[in-house]
Amino acid sequence: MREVGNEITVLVGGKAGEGINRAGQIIAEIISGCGYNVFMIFDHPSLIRGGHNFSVIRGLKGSPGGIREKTDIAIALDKNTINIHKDRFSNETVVIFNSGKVKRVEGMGIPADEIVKDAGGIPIMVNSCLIGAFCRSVGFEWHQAEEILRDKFPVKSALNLAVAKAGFDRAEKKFVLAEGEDNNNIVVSGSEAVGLGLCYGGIEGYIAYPMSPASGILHFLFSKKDEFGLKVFQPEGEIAAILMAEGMACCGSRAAVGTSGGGFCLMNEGLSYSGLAEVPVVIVNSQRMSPSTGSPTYTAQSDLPYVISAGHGEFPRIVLSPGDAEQAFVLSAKAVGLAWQFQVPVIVLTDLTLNDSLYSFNPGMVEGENYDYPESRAIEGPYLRYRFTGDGISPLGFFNEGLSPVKINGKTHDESGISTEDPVILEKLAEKRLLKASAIKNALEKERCVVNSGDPSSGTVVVSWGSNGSLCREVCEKMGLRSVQPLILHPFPKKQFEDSVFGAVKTIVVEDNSTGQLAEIIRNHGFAVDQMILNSSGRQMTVDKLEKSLREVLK
Amino acid sequence: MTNTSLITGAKNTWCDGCGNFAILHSIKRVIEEYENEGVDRDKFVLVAGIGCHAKTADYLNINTVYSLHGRAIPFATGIKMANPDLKVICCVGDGDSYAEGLEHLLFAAKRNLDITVIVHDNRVYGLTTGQYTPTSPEGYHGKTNPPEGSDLPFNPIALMLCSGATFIARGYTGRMEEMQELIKAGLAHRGFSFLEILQVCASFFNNSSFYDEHIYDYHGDPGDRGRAYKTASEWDYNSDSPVAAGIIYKEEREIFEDRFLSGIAGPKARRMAVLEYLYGSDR
Repeated sequence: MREVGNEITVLVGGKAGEGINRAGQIIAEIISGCGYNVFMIFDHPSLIRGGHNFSVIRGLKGSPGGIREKTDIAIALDKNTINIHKDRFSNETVVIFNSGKVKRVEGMGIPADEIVKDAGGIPIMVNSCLIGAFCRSVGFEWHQAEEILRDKFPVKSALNLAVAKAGFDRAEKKFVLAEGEDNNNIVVSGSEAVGLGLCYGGIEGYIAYPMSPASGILHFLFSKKDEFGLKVFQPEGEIAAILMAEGMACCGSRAAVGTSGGGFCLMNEGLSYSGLAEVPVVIVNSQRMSPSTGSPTYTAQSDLPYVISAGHGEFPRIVLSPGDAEQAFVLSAKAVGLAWQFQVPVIVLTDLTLNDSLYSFNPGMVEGENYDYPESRAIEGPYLRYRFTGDGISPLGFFNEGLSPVKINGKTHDESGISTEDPVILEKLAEKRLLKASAIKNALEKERCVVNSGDPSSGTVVVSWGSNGSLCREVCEKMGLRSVQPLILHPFPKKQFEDSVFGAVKTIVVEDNSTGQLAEIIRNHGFAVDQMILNSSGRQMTVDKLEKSLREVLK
Repeated sequence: MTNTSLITGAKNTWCDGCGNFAILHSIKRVIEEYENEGVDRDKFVLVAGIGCHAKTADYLNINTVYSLHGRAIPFATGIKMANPDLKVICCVGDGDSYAEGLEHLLFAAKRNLDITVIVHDNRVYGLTTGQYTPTSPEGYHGKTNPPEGSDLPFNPIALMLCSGATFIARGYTGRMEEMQELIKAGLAHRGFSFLEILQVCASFFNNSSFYDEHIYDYHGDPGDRGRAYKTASEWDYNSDSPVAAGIIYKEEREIFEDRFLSGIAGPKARRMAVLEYLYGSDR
């Protein structure tokens, strides 16, 4: 019997279509209920049936920034789980497996196929059976397990519970999952956190064409549309998606769109339109691995210079980069306010690791932030949609507000919105966009643009962005290094970044790409980058791997 | 506001004899009629694509979105999602909506979006100086014509019939009064109104003698789908056959906007709902 202590890692694997993601989620929620903060990755190839899927759940009495290399418990629905993940097993790993599918393996064999068949269940209930076994292995009594699991099986709960009980009865107690105080955290995916944040920020519409890894936001918001009073729609493509969102904005309804790189490419004309016609829109771009279709279900951080410069012509925009569920909520909500304050496109740049992973989420951590941004609204006098003002921001006015005519125009236009190519006005329009860019820069200085963690006195500074932010935080805390994660990537928060890296002796940049995209931006702003730890495997590094890489570069 | 002119002070740059004048003035008169009946012009939004037709957005003194080439309809969709009470007119071109933006046209018809689409079909790219469009006939000899016989023109009426449009009509700029009545009927229709307006391009494709000879007033039963198909197939945009002008098809069907009627909440209520979700009344 082992005390779990500060942390536990559980791997659950099986064939695609066997419900591995849901099984992992239930285990994450059980571990979270014991007072641990959880982080779960879900690894799945881009197919529906037959590939190998697995989840790794890590619970920590702290804040987990990634997963571990080794697993304490492995739950194997099939033989592949054992073969593929050999390297994750140690002598102490407890293997719980479906003995109907997995032969000649040491550990806790549960005849799950047989149990499910005898109970008159369906094959996917093998999950329930092994989750029952998991509950006993970490030390729950059945009455505790039953109470927890009843909640998790909303459909056919009696049958699922019977199957879980049979699995529970055949398992042995191997660990004592130290029960901590319930921290009232909830477990959400990054996609859910983005969706919740957008709603909190005031969107009325979410329009998206299905595309991994952003689809989770669409699915979540569609399932909650009535509860949240939201208009959620799947149009004919990404070009339509962004323009529909902008159509909503022309009526004063805030709207957001979500996609991944390829879809973002298609949105570029809409992005550029937003830039010239000054129609606010929030775009979530969830990065996937590689150009083109690439690896739709594997992660990367390789769209940074692209989103900063996408869309032809010159126009101001804001790029926000959350790294975990709480940051995803906060920045998605702020994105909406900022887009409408400045009447610009705001891009929330996420990555697959963030979208698809599960996180412990403390609602108290996001509530205190400022989400209210002033909107410049039309007052008296004839309405001019593009009135020239000192800060480049024209008062907003919408259709059907008695302001007629409101003329919105994607061609160069005069103050009233009528097309013109007059050289003097073209100059004025370019100047208007510059004024706006500088108003944005000034306003963002009041925001928390950079997250600092680890040891602030360390001369070794590890800079990262997106989902690597929390990974680097955890490892830097352990190693006594300084971790710096910019949350706003464009316009680059030079002042705050300068404060964060003040006194740096060695700066190491960690990114999930092969060229060092943030490193390049940092250098362009006059900061030194001494080393880069780059990862293009499509999987986030484990905390062990990052620690090892850091030790190597620090030798 | 109702006393001010419906025409802006923007300088008109259409060529002499351009069919766009007739369409502009027909729309203007229809809106005037609505105003006389007490409908505020603030209720109207005109969304234009890009091309000669789109200058209508600059010339009409009403709410407008001067959108992108081929993309008027997605903007219109968003506008109607946000505010289903607005009367939205999309002025689009044939290159604009049958080439670059065809998908949007088909999907709006499929969904029965309650807008009125007026296609300024001059069957040539005017603003980009004379390339062939999806409805150019073989007889048109432009700068980029395909080899003869290989690339047939679209039949937009047939295309709309099989895509689910609930109001389909064809008009001609040479018959302005009838065209104006069609625009009026299209705006009165609750659902996707498609108006294919044959228009001459004075500079690159003046096809008026063909139209004057072949167009006839069509008065068939618009509820008869079979007849509508037959009428649509009468002329394939290439041949020397009679060309029906009038309301070709009409039906009633649930509109797109209705699917967004449930769950309307303000930003405050939405925030409360999110907080409830986070703090667990349903978890």
